[in-house]
Amino acid sequence: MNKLFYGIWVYSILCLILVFLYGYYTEIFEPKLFGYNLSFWSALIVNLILLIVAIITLKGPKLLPILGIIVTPISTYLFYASWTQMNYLYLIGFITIPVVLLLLSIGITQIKKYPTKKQI
Amino acid sequence: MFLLNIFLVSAVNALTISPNRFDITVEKGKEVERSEHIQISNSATDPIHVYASVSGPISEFISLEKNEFDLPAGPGSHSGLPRKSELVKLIFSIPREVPESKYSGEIIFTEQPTKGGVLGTYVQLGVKVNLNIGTMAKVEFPVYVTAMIIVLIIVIILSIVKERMRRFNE
Repeated sequence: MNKLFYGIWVYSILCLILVFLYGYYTEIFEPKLFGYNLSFWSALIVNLILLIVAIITLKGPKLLPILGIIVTPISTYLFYASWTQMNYLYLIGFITIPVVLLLLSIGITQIKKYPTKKQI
Repeated sequence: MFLLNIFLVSAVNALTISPNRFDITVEKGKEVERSEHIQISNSATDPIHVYASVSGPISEFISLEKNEFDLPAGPGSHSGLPRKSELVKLIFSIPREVPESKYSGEIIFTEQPTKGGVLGTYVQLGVKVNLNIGTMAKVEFPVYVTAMIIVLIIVIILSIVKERMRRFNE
């Protein structure tokens, strides 16, 4: 759980950095590499980190790692689409993913800390 | 009022455009050549002819690849079948010497029936364009994006505080 929690935390920080770059140094996403601009490649790298962490932690509780694997391509697409189409709704989706993952990981930790009557 | 008419009409006609706005920020003193696409689709069962033009101060920086084109008949407004669409390429050319300022305008698409069509009125749709030339390439996020960024920062801080507390208790 710890590995997954810190993985999601690092992923969230990297997402935040990407959003700040989007806001303040938009031009760095301009160069193209293999037909796609850097907005795609940077989002892909950040999401690959989440994917690797999710795969590594699949042995434990399944909910968050599976969710992590599912959202990886979605998040990459959202950031790329937001930058290329200048559509901030996609960016909202991109930011929502780490928020949800973090809240879920906090929630799961809390549930473990305070077990229900049934679990006792 | 003109803008209001455009967007009121967009809700009832067969022509749809995507995206419906462009916000572009460019650093002052940088020469920028950038291409974007607008997708125009027709859901009506009649073919239409579309004229494209640029209005407002933004017009000096935008050139359209084609100023008029035909859209074949679509599947009908309530049909689930894919609409016939056309991609219009627009090129933003911003010279180095443009002074620092905000430029705005619209790319207007005017719909007319072709020979086979029965539409008797002209319908216009607009794509709003905002060009910001500043000292630093900075995007002005809408309030909801800024709010979401703040939420993310709060959740990041909250999660690390929770983790620290959990470790401390252990």
